[in-house]
Amino acid sequence: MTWLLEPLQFEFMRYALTAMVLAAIPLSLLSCFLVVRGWALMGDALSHAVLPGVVLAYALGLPLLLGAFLAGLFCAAAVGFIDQKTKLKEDTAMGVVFTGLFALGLVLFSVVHSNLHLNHILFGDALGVESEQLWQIGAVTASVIVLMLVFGRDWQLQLFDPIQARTMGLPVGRLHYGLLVILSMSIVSALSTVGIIIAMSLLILPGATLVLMRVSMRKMLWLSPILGSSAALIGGYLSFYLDSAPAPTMVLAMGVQFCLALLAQQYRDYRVPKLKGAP
Amino acid sequence: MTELLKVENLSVRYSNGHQALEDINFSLPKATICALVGANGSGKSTLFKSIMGFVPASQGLVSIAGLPVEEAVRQQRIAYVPQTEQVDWDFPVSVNDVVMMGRYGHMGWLRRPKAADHEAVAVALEKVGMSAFAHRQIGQLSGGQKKRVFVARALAQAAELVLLDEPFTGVDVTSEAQIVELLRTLRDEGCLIVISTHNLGAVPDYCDLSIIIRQHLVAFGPTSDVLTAHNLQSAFGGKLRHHVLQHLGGESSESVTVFTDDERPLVLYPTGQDQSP
Repeated sequence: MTWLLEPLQFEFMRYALTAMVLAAIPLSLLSCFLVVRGWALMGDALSHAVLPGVVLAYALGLPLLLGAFLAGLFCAAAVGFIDQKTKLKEDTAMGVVFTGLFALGLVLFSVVHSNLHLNHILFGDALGVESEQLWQIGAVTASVIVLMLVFGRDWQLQLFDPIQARTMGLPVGRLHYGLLVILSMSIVSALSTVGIIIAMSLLILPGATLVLMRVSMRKMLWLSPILGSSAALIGGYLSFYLDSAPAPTMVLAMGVQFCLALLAQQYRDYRVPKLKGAP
Repeated sequence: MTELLKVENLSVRYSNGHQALEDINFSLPKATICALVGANGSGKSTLFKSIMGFVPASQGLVSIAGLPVEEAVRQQRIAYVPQTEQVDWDFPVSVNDVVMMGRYGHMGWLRRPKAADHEAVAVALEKVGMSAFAHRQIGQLSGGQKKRVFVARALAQAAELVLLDEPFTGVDVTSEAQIVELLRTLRDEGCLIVISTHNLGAVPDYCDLSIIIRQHLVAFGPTSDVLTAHNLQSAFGGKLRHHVLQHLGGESSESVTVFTDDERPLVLYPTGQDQSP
């Protein structure tokens, strides 16, 4: 058991593991919605789009989280605008907006002289997490969990059948933007720990793995935080012994989960030939 | 006859200038099945959207049981059965989950189902004959079964006004008969059912009233008065397949007129009675 306890002797490891688990929970929860709705690219878009917000907030001396949050909202609103007001499809709109914002962030980054490390923004710095950040991450995680408990079923209905949601009098507009807000919040909260590139994989992999396991949406919402946080723990421990960066190691753990689910599904399809689209 | 749905002088003009509906007037009583007939682009879906409150009227008024649409929506008085193509059948929800969604409006703000909600779902599934499939993922159902699940959702919602959008496309004849039977039961329970359909031939079988629109109201009234050769021609122009069959070898020189959109044809016999083959 010493291998289990050894990393915990170090404060930075305790902080890193806690931060990664806390950051993984809201992102994994949201991955269920994004993957099922075919919005995987939205997570991608939002996580890239926060970069200019971070750099600008730094230059203006504002909290980095605030800048990232506003940039995320701007990205979501811009995508929505282009999607509704033009003939372009939504994925094209996302591609335009997020690559544009990401590029803007990179340019700003080289113009604004800062002691920010681009690598830390992109890939996170789990080992440098401080206790104050842990509280911030914990607060976001707690509020996302509460919001999911309260509005989770409304979001499910809206994603599944927006027309029915409207004929039942649900506030569809507020629900849509509310979802984008907690998406931005979760990405931003994960920024310091896992970085924007890795946040993206937390927004896709747990949901994708569970879709392969063919479980219902209700079970997905229970299982995805378990998948995400277990990957965070496994990745954290492995990184300690492999002396690797924790966040990418966590993504590898999620990749293994995905591959196992894929193998299981292939095996099941092989045993019971599936009638695709029939009867 | 108590009026349930009342549409007065309704006009809808979209922001791009397209006049989708112009001065539509009709009112429908409870316990009725009414067909909504019109060519593609005739404003059928816009009319549905106005009844559900999705598009604002540029003029006129829609009221349900004397209430404005928003209030009727809030009170769960309107249910909508979507077209099969509008639904994401891969979504990981079971038949039971979908029907339970019909109960959301009756639940508290946490949407935790109570015993009454489970009961309503079970009753609705029983009525549509889908109890055995309650735990199936919705993608694993046949076309007719899929439709019945959504009718069950409307039942569970306990709405007074049920709107069905093309309920018979992609549905086999047996399922169609089952759905029609189900709609009759709903009608006998006092619901007003409005069906937008291309299946003209089946309309006289089960629709008490019919509405034909082409931006404006072409005809409205009892189905036998409304589905006439004259009305259909003015509603569809050349868009319907229209065959005039001369009686062969008969003494009569009168002809039988057959109208078909894309499904079962509507046959108009010279006596003026509608009979469907």
